[in-house]
Amino acid sequence: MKITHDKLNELLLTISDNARVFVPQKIDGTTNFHLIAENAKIDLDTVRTKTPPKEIIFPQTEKILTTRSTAGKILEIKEAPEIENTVIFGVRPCDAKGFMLLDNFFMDTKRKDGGEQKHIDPQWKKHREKTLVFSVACTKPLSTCSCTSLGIHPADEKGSDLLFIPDIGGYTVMQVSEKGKKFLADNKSFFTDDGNPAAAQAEANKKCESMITLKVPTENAGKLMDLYKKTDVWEEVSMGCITCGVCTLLCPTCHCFETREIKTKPDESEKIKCWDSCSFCTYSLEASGHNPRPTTADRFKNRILDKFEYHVTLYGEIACTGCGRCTDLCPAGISLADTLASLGGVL
Amino acid sequence: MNTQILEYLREVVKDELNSGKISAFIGYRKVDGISGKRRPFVCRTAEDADKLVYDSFCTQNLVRMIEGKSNFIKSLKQPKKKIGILVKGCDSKSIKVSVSESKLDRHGFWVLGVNCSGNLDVSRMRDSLHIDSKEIIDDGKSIQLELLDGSKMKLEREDWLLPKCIHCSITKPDNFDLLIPDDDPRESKDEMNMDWVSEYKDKPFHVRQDFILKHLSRCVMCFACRDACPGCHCNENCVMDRQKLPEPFIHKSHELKDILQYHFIHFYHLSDRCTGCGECTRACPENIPLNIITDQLRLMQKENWEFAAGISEKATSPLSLIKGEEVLGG
Repeated sequence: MKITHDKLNELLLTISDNARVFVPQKIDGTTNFHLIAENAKIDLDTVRTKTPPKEIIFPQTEKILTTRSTAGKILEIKEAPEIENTVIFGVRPCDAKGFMLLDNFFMDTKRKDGGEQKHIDPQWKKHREKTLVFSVACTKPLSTCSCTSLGIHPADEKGSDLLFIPDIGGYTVMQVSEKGKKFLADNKSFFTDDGNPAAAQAEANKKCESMITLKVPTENAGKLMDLYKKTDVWEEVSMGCITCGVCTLLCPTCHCFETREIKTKPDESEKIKCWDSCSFCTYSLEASGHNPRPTTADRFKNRILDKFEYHVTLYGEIACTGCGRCTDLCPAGISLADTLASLGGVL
Repeated sequence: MNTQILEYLREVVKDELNSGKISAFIGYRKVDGISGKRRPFVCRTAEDADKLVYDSFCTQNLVRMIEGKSNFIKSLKQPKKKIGILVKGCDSKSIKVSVSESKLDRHGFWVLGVNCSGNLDVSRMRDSLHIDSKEIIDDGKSIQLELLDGSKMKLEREDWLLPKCIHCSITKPDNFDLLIPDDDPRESKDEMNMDWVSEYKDKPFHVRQDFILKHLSRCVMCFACRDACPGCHCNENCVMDRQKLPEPFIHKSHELKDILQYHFIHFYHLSDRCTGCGECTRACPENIPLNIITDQLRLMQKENWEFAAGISEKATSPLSLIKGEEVLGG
């Protein structure tokens, strides 16, 4: 199936009557996902948005509960507001795969021990059910891109509902999930029946992959526990780290959050869920004042091991998509590829 | 990359490490496989010194590393030896502020000054031109890029400087132990070129408010601006990290009110300590132009009290000084 640029804009605006439609837009020189509006320009020239699309279905702050109570007696518990239908257009394949890796954590999918889904985050599940992910294949990479090292391709369909492969004048559309199939059937009039998605995908992969130069060494994933107690190694690789939250908050697979109670009225309080980061000095700080990860190196170790060790042990996958944000945006110039190569060197 | 400066840098660091005058040297090194990116690097042996680099991509203010924010500086310290550090013109002002606030013992450090002709903003280059390169060569006049698809491109150097470098004319530090000789004919001037801020400052309130709110709405509260700042010194007692209060002072609820509160606490605490090193703006992953506020505060200090942070190691900030006539009953 194919769609022209004009038809696509029309389609996105039409569906925005009944759903929140997010597209990458360049506003004040910075490209991020924003709600579509009339005359909004979709920016797909910028390869990756600064904030990954995970912010849409795992918002930085989300209300879980509202409680009304008086004199120690709970009067009312209100659940979080309903989640609206959402469409995210312009997701890159690496970020789409990020949603699948987050599914592992939030919905316990692919659990190695037994395979039973034990712990399901209701909020995440609702968001996932109500969200359509429309990916757009990459036509050019950035120097920090390394999806191919993580088994993802520039035109990968994994994690998407529909994949849009750029073409002259529009897109060739690949139908990926059942949800995507239903969407195509409902909006048939916008699409034409020609085009060969599989061939277009193969060609897009070939063209873009040849330009990806950075390799993230992943062969040691799952073996890094041997380095757990080697403090000097972690001090060396984390040298210069300023413990800001850039690499974690802007990572498409980082998922740490904390819950907080905020008093909004004398008799009413809200429970919110908000992003946390293992880089912060308050991460895992216990009420006693004890912090199991007191130093920069400890927290840096947690980030690397979580992605390349714990997630591999639990779900059999590396929790990294090679999107390159951590390397690109790190104020201290720390590169993930560099870190893993150094760790591999001392194994 | 100026090879003369680089060779001198490596040789002098080797000499100092071999002679035992310094126990370690903090400089920059390359990041493998990524163009236009440099990383703070600690040399402990003379062999390490060969990895040192210095060029217009060495943006980080290394003074941030020696202020004791990270524990590792203590581990580098050896009896009767100093720790060496490479310092650019703007960074050297941070040393003066830290010394004047007793955060830093100047005698414990060997400061190697180096000429700077402005750092390049690779991230802006990528975002506005939609290009990325395998190789970036800066010859001091123009920038030559080899793009990922193999094509070549040439850019004017002047157009792609970091925001902090555009208005800066400090080419050399002034409180060094040794200065790397160079052939830069420009005179180093520490003057505030604040025309661009004055322009903004004179705009109506709602225009300024709209400007800062729309930019701050992108903030993800990663605190990179705080953590990269050589002036911030609350470390783990920062108000944003305080957990012991019955209710946190500011919520991490990531609403605009919290974002604003955080940034304004940061700005005001830094108002008499900010040297304009631009680390906050550079560190911001969301390109928020924080320097428009910090530079305004610096301009106000200048206009009201004839004071600028980082002019001297002995200067006391007007905000922490009470004159005789200001004391009640005095």
